[in-house]
Amino acid sequence: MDNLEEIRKEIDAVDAQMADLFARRMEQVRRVTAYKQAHGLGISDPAREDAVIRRGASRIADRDIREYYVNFEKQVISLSRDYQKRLMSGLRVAYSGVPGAFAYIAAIRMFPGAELLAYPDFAGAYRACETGEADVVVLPFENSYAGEVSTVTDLMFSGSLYVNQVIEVEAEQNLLGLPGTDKSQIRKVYSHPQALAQCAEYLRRNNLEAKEFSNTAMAAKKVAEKQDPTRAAIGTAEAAALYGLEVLEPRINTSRTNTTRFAAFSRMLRLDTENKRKMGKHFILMYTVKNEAGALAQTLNIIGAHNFNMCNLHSRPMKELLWNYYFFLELDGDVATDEGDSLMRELGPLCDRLKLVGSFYTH
Amino acid sequence: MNMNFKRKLLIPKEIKEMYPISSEGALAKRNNDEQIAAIFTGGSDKLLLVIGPCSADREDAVIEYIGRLRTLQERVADKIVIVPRIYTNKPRTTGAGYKGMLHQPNPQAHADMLRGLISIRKLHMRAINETGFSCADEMLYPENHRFLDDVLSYVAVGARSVEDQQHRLTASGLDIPVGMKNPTGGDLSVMMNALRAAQGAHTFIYRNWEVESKGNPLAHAILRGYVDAHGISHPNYHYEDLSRLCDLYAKSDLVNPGVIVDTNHANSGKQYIEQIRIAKEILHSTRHNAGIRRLVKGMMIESYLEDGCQKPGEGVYGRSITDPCLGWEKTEHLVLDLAELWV
Repeated sequence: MDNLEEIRKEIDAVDAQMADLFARRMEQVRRVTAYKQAHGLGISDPAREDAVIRRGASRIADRDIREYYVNFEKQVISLSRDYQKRLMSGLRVAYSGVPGAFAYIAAIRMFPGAELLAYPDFAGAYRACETGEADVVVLPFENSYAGEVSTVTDLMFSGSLYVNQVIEVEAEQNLLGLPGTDKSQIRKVYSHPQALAQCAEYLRRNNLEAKEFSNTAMAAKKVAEKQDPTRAAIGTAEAAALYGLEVLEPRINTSRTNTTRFAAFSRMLRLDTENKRKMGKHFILMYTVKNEAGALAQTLNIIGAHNFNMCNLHSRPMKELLWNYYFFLELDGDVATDEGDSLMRELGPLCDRLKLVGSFYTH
Repeated sequence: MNMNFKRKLLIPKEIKEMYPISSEGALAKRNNDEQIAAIFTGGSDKLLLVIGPCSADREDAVIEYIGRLRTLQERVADKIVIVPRIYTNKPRTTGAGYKGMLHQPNPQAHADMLRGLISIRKLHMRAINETGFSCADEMLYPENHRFLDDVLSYVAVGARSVEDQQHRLTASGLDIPVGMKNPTGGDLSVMMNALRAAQGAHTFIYRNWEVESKGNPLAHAILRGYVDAHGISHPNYHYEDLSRLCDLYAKSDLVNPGVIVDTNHANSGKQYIEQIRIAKEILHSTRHNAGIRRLVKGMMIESYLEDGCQKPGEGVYGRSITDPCLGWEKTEHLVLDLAELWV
């Protein structure tokens, strides 16, 4: 029979080692956070977390222990996320709109725990990050229904910031009312025209009258102020929480394809690559070409020669130059490769202005 | 005409801006040009070796090969001047098969001329910027010389092109040595006529411009062996052949008489190993005749990292996908031996 004392001594020794390793791991987490802050990257990174757990599991031969180890790794990751959140609480994230609006949701999804700064318009939020008033700015740049957000596209071209992260936020519309309200009491519903349109079928079915507001968060605020149980708003769950309303019925929108892409802009461009990632990468280029026949085609030929698939190409007017246009391109692939380097080099002489706006993983 | 005008390609200025020569590279080319020109004008007694793979099939292997040549060049600097071959376009007798990096930057993919033009510029630019070698290429399409004129120190006009007027006229407008090969049938008068044309001044059309050339005094002969009416290869590197070429030069009014002997092709019957023996035999001939000693300026040798050749799909790094080449080990021995034998 083994001596219990001795076994416990061994456990203490292992614990001492683990404490040391844990401190070392958290120190690296701190460094990761500093990096993410500088480049405007969010805390949550499901692909990386998944890879850590899978690799961890493969290290343990004993099947029973492996199961416990996976749990242990998950705990470690969750602690590291908490730590990052705390470290990032000093991060200032600008957005445009009011609390509860989609921009606000995108910002807290990307940067939980950060300090959010609201600005009345896109340009104001963008400039705040350029001047250093904010570390990151989160702005919508494309909607699956309406297409590009032209003001933001123009800022991308004229401004000095870079995109290192993009997330998609689906417009999930909920019926929001005063807490404890019975749904059948509702007569009139406030919301943004687009949200009302997405829920048109629900409104018709329940015989509800619609009233338009300039945004969904304002509508929720109005319902909260009125304290009239026959009034409800259509908006996000976040707006409900923010204005003390309750979600009376979730997901009442019939069209489920209205998704907005939000980009996190920061002052630094991130061009390093994580080799083992299997996730797709995209990058955004903006440029102007000489005003002559075939000039745009030459640039597209170069892109084709390097085998980058083009997801999106559109032109926007250059306001200061009448009837001159710049091009916005989103390309599928990694620009931080030899192929990408060559592409940028070869486009240079063919473009009057060329900007690599950002490079990011797609989800 | 049944040509489909697919797309307008870039002009040389644009591609040069994409892959410019560095200021060190430009300086290196000037020095290389002076050293090489001195060999042809008689100011230098060194042996010129135009050496490298039959075709430059991939950038990485070619750059590695040329990097090794750089070390070797330093070891034999008192006797030998090396000009690496970067052959980016290959003439094909029937038009079928691999036509070089210009047509197929990826040897297994379809032709892509835009990517090809950029790839060959990038490769030559890397060679000069990274190793200080301004290299040799075949002038198969005279109009394309403008894409590479600031990075090349030597061009050859091939056996199939040497009778072509545009090649001869373009050669007359270059400032670097142009080697004109004897035609595949072996008629030396064709080659001598090409040299007369290249050394004279002309007015002609080049890249849609009316141009005037001054004549190229550095144009010289290349003997590459020949194939007779029965398809049998015959060498023309022997003592008697070199002596005959001396006589032809003496009877002509050409300046800077000189020959580079191609040790492969019909001279070796493409038995690449024979290049070692042939190279040494040429040096032997130079020791027995002062005229031949003055005439022979150097050799053209096909060499790469690995011995022999392979089909394009086989994928061995550093092995020729066109004619068989000497591998690196044999190449290194040969160059060191030649440095010893060249007196």
